[in-house]
Amino acid sequence: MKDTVLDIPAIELKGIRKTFTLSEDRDAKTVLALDGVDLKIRQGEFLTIIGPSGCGKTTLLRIIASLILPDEGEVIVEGEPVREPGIKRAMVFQTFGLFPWKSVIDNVIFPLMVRKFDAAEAREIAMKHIRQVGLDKFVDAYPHQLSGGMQQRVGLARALSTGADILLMDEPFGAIDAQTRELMQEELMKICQQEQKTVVFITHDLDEAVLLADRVLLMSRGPGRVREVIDVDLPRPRFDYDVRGHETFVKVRAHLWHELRNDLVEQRAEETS
Amino acid sequence: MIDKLIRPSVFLPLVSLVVVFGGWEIVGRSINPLLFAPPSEVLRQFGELLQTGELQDAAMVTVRALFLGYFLAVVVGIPFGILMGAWTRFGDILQPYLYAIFATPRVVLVPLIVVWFGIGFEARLFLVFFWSMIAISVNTAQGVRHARPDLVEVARSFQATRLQMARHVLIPGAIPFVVSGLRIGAERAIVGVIIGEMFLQIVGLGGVITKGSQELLPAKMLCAVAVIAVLGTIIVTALDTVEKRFQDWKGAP
Ligand SMILES: Nc1ncnc2c1ncn2[C@@H]1O[C@H](COP(=O)(O)OP(=O)(O)OP(=O)(O)O)[C@@H](O)[C@H]1O
Ligand SMILES: [Mg+2]
Repeated sequence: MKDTVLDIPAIELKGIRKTFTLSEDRDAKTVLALDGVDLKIRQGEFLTIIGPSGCGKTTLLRIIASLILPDEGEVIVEGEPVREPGIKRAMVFQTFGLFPWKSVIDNVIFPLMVRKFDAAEAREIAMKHIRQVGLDKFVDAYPHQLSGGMQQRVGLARALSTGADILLMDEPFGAIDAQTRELMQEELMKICQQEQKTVVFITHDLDEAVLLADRVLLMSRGPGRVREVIDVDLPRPRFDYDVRGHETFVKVRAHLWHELRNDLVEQRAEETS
Repeated sequence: MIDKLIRPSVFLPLVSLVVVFGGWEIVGRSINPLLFAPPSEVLRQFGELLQTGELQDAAMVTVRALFLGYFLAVVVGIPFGILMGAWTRFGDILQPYLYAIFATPRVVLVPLIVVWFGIGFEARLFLVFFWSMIAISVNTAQGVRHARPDLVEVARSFQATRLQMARHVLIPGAIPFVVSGLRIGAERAIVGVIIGEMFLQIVGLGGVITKGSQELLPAKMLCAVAVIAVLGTIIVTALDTVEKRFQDWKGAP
């Protein structure tokens, strides 16, 4: 399936730097969140990003989504530099980001309605993706009536309904219980394979990072840089064999943990010295 | 029947009513009738005022200025507040003045209104409109500004325009603030109309109170007060209904 990958990367990052100022004072403290990130993400690729807390993962994803602009550097989506959110990229948010005053269907329709789709057509598209995530029975429910897992399915259906080739997901399953999470990982892999999505997926969970990824991007503790990009050479579909017992899985996971641990140990040493 | 009466939820309010009105009757009868009136006297006065039509006429005068003024305040105040909240620079420019007006005792404005609008219907209308409009727009603006940043970001990521942002994120999120603005506005509208009727032109229910005090008829004053209380209750109940209607997505608690 993934041999249809074209020459143009889905996303290309060139020298991304980002500094945050902590207040409006002139001599306020600044935080260097990203210090020169270069990266090419192939079309149809599933890239997971892992790294210590505060290393700039969310910042990087928001820059890819053009929700914030980098101080330096460029984001290029399918060959074109971008500076504003666009139709080719759709976000899935850690805290779901559902409008509490809209029903499931209205939440999923939102991106289509914003783009002035014909109402009947929009509804049809939205229903298709609501069915795809298995929520047909809850079309008219409100978010507060759904469990966390179900809410994130709505978030996923909403992102899918945009028709975007690129899904940007910031710890989407972070707030979901472990068993539901496994189920949703499986479903996400199925959907992404069927629809040839390019996915950038942030996670704190080593297993999740390896399980889902074609490549894992390991970021170094702030200021955020690319520390290493690791290929995960595991056959797909990955849910019909014991992928966690696979030699490659174990090796990649151990390597990632080793690197992450070093980073944390160094950080502790610096903090206590 | 007896069982029902013995239940605390029925029994206690009944006792309270009997004690309060009984006490009032006893105290009322023992005090100089020029200063205070027992319930029986208030009831008699009420019947008399209804018969002469004085109370109905007064209530109509009050209701006209109150409802028209409040209606205008809502129609102007909510869009104005949304504009102030969504267009921050506009809000920043106006904010200090609005807060100053909001915090100034409303009575100090009365002489100015006399100069600008005279003492008639327009003056009362303006009093009602202005005070409740300020409260409604300040609250609405605050609600719009308190929009959840995560939802603003969601809408932005799907490329919502400013108008769509207002329609689907800012305004629904601001509704609890708007409703509380409507409540404060209603309270200010009632006070405004009564002040106008007591101190500008002696008309309406406020006028009945003023006349009652000049004629040394406390029962008459109390009749007007009762009608004003009923008016207030009607408005507050209506607002409760509006609030429920807009928040039905929250479902039953
Ligand atoms: N809006 C902001 N204003 C100021 N500083 C910010 C802002 N956003 C992020 N930062 C800082 O930038 C750094 C990177 O933050 P970011 O949220 O990208 O980290 P993260 O890797 O996503 O962390 P986590 O794993 O905890 O989600 C942090 O030091 C954070 O304090
Ligand atoms: Mg983060």
